[in-house]
Amino acid sequence: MALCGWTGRILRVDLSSGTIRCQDLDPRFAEQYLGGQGFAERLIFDEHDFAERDPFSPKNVLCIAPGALTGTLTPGSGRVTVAVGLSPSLGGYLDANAGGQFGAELKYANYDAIVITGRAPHPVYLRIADDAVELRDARHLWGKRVRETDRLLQAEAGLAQYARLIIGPAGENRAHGSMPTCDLFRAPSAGSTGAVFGAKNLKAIVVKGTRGVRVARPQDAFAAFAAVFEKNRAEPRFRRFGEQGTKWLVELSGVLNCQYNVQPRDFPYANLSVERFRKEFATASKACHACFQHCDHHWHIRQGRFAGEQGSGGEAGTIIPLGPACGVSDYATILHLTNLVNDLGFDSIAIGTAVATSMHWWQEGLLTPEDTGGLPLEWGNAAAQEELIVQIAERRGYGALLADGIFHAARELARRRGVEPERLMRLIRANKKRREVPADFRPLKGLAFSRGLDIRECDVLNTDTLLAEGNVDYERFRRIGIPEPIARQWADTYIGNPMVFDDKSLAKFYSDNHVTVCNSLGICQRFTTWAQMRMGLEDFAHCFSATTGIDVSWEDLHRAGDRIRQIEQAMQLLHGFRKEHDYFPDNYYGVPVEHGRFEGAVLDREEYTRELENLYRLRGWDAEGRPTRARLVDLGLDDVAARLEAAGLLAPDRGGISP
Amino acid sequence: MKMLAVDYTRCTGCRLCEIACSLHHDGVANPAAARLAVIHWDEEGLHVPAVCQQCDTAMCEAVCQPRAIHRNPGTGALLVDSALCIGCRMCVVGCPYGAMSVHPATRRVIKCDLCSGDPQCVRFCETGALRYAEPEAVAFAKRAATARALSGGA
Repeated sequence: MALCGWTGRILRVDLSSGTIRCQDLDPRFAEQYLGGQGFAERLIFDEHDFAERDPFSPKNVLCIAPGALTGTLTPGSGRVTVAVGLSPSLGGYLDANAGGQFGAELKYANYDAIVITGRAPHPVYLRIADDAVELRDARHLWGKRVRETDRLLQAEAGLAQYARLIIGPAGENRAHGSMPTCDLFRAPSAGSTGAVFGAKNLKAIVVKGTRGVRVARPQDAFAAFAAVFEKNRAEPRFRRFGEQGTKWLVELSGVLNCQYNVQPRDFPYANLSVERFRKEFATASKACHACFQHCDHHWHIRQGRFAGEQGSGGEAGTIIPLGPACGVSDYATILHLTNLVNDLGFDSIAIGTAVATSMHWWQEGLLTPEDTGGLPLEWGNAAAQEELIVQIAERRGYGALLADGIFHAARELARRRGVEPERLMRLIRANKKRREVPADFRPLKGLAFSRGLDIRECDVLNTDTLLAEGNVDYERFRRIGIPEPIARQWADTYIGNPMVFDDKSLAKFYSDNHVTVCNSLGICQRFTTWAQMRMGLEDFAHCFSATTGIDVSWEDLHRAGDRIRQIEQAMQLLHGFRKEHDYFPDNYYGVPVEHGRFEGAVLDREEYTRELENLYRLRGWDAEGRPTRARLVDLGLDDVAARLEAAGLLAPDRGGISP
Repeated sequence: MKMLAVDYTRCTGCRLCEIACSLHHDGVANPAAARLAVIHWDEEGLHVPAVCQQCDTAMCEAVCQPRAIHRNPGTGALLVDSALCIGCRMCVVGCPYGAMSVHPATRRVIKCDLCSGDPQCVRFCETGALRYAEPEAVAFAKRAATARALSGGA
């Protein structure tokens, strides 16, 4: 019987030889790993050579996978995962995901994933029109920014209304923080995946599909959609996302991030109010595929230096790192910079962090005009900021140093100054896996715990904002879609108190599985429990069952999330990540927040370790984070256990730990 | 008789209308087979749903030599009788709004049938970019909005 939900095909492209082939999707594989993140993790685990330490090697595996439900009527199901076996900025496996139309069009062309290896002899782009898949010369596009490339491709690719992933100069020059920009304004924004595109000489992927996605029980799919539609529309936060996007978070979380540790009291936050954005800049609400929440806005700059400029996008995760983090408070300037990073193909969090950290070094005298070629990186100097961002994309001047990553720059500057690298490193806000953290989360224990461990974009798409707010009780847990037994368990804990560390491991275990399932089904977090909206695992199960015709419970999906996370841990261990990498740098602990609303708040290392080890226990890992054979076998991952054992990375057998 | 009215300024480009339409008619989620299409210009942030207006003097009906296009008296929708359609696609060329299209799988012309009076696209349009209403109500709303803009009023 033909698959429903999935389209049954995996596209494999070897850029070195130019070979393109189609592989049938094994239905058992599909059920175990769902799609999106799950497909990417398992396909990369099977294919990646973990002995290869060069992220720019042709051997590095790139995987692009829409969710199991992407392309269907499932609300907010338009997401597509972009993953690499070895991320240049993290040194481990990484996946990111984006909205837009790309994932859906790929499904309509009938592909559940693309696996890309090798390196093209010269720049190429991949053109997909249903069964017609070809690599085309992109030498004339190399060096061009995203929008210009897009205009040329629209004219020459011959695919009306296509969807696209395009890298700009940042990815071509293998710069830290680069990403393939999705449909001009969407961002699979983590881990420098754009640099892997660049190293592979892959300028773009364009796709148009006309075959569609089969749905097993259309009437049930309509009903499942309508149920989510109605209850989410009744939620006050629904309107808020629709009218304000995540920009309402700017004033709130900007407080935690203004000029990084500096946080001047007199910063003009009122300039960045969402009301101001709506009144002066917003022109229309915009949405990703199959999303009725439409949290994005198109905007126009009507006056001043950037008059006439227009664009979309500008999440809190863009506005904050490009704005207050760098001391910039002019909204038009920040929107202009938003366009710039999308056009160069940069992740705004990574690039904002690189610039803000440089400004902080400048303030501390650790970065001098000799290093920057005279570029004055003072807080709030937007012109210098813009120049630096372009320099990084083009590997020029001081930007060339940052293009190899902020940690590399710290070491080099420390060498020049004759100081300990630690003096510079301590000002970089990132966890030990080197993922940038866009704000200071020390006061909010659940968020801090998540950010200490995570590799993914550190914004509301992948975190547990639930844990950032107080007064969450059983009723609230239920209302936002936490299944009954979990909500009952949580009601007796400290999970609802963001200022207390206790029990956050319980929430993190459930949260990580939930998020993994979302990313694997292709559903945007913004619809779900984790943005305090009302779509939970039970709703996912309804949508999944109606679409695929395979009846699953929320427990089945939760278990699939656990299975996918085990693969991820196996990969990170094979890459050399250990327990020590599940922390923030040492200076994040034991040091109280200096001033502001959360003055005096401290993150305690012992508490952190206690919750970390408890999280390991919930995953069935030992105290060092090594998976146990019992749990892996229970999840049908015998081969993963064998591979870890051969590498000496399996937990020593002590009879196993039951889930 | 109600009409399917478009206010493109409210369209977010989510394409739920296309998905709902194709799912309702074919049981497959496939915008390429939908009876309406959202045309987009991403750089300008412009999304315009192209839908059939079920014209009183219908060009599709007029150019159809085998007389395969008839009006449903209940909904006013113009319907294609696939038994009579010869696949000449003159209606596709003749429609002034680009509302006729060709099904990617069957290669037959397809068009909006107003889902027998309960358009699924409207059901899933959160912003009201698509509405199913009496022409008088649509006209009045347009008139009121214009008056408001001209008067600079609230």
